[in-house]
Amino acid sequence: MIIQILLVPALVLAVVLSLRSRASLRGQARRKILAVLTVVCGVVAVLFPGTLQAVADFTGVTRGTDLLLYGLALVIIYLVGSTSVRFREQEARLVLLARQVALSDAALRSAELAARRSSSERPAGQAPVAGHGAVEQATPAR
Amino acid sequence: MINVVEREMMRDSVEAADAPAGAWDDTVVVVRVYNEGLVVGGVIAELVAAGLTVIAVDDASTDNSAEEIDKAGAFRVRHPINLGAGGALQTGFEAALLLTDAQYIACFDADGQHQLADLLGMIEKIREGYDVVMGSRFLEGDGATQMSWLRRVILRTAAKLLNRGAGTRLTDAHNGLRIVARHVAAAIRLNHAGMAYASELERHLTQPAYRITEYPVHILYTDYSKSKGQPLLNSVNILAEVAAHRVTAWGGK
Repeated sequence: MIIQILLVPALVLAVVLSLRSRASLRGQARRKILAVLTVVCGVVAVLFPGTLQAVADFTGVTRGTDLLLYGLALVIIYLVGSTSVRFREQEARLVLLARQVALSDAALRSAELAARRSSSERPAGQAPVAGHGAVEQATPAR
Repeated sequence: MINVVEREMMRDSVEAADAPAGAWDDTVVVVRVYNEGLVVGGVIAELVAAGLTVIAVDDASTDNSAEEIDKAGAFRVRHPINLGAGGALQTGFEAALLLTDAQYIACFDADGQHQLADLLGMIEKIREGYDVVMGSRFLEGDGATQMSWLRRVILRTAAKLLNRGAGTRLTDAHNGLRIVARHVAAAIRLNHAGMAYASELERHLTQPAYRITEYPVHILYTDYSKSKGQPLLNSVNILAEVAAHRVTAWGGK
């Protein structure tokens, strides 16, 4: 059956390609081409219902609707994969942002503490590492 | 204010009594805290009392962890949102590099399953000139750590399966107790969210450029740490995440 030869690699390809899809220009262009093709195929399938059946007969699928189902399954698999990649990229950006906020806040408090310590009569000249234990004492809990 | 002063005096006396001043000055300990209010205070206080500098990364805890950290005497870095284990560890490394001039940066769990004595031993080990010292539960046969046979089998298999950067073979996987030299920490970039970071980190640390060794540690699986720890089924999540990342990153860069 031709459909078996087609479906198995298509399935593997859908998973791999979706996980490797990127927000690159080339990826975007590919997705747009795919969208246009989908619309064209849809219009053709609606206007000439016979074509779907003909393609199904050619590939060894009993009904045209079954062929459509297979196609849909592939699309969904691709979508799930590429969406998860997109989410992961978004999350990575969010992580960087949150870390930057946390670190700049920490740096600020650390500098404040150092300033407070040098202005008061605390023993100076502590190594920054050793001095760190005292940071939180000068900083009220938030 | 009064108890701040008291606490400082207390700590001073503890330090004076306990150790030759500044014995562990070259090390900063990163503790990742996410809703560990019950135990984190004790864990950090023990580290501080030993004379270690502690940076606690509060991963947007919703309980009283923040107060406990402050009370115990660690420097607190607070995430505005929860970033997961890997995210917090990366923040800890960066904070340690940014705010201190420590030579060695150690990771320590907040739930009390790690032993201070093991950490101190690892610091002494890394001072011998290693770049990385990893804690291992299996270094001496099956070690002293009590765990179920299923966990043991999964961990040992994971240690064998996970693709290490050529050369070094570790006997344990996903052990949270580790210490790295400053230049190693500066090169760490953890991208995996959640617990899969450990595989990513181990992969980075075992690259042949680093002198790495293992140190036998004893993990205490208390009821508390068990209830907080990862369910075994989470190894499926970790494996899937590692696999998905490999497919995405494979070939390109």
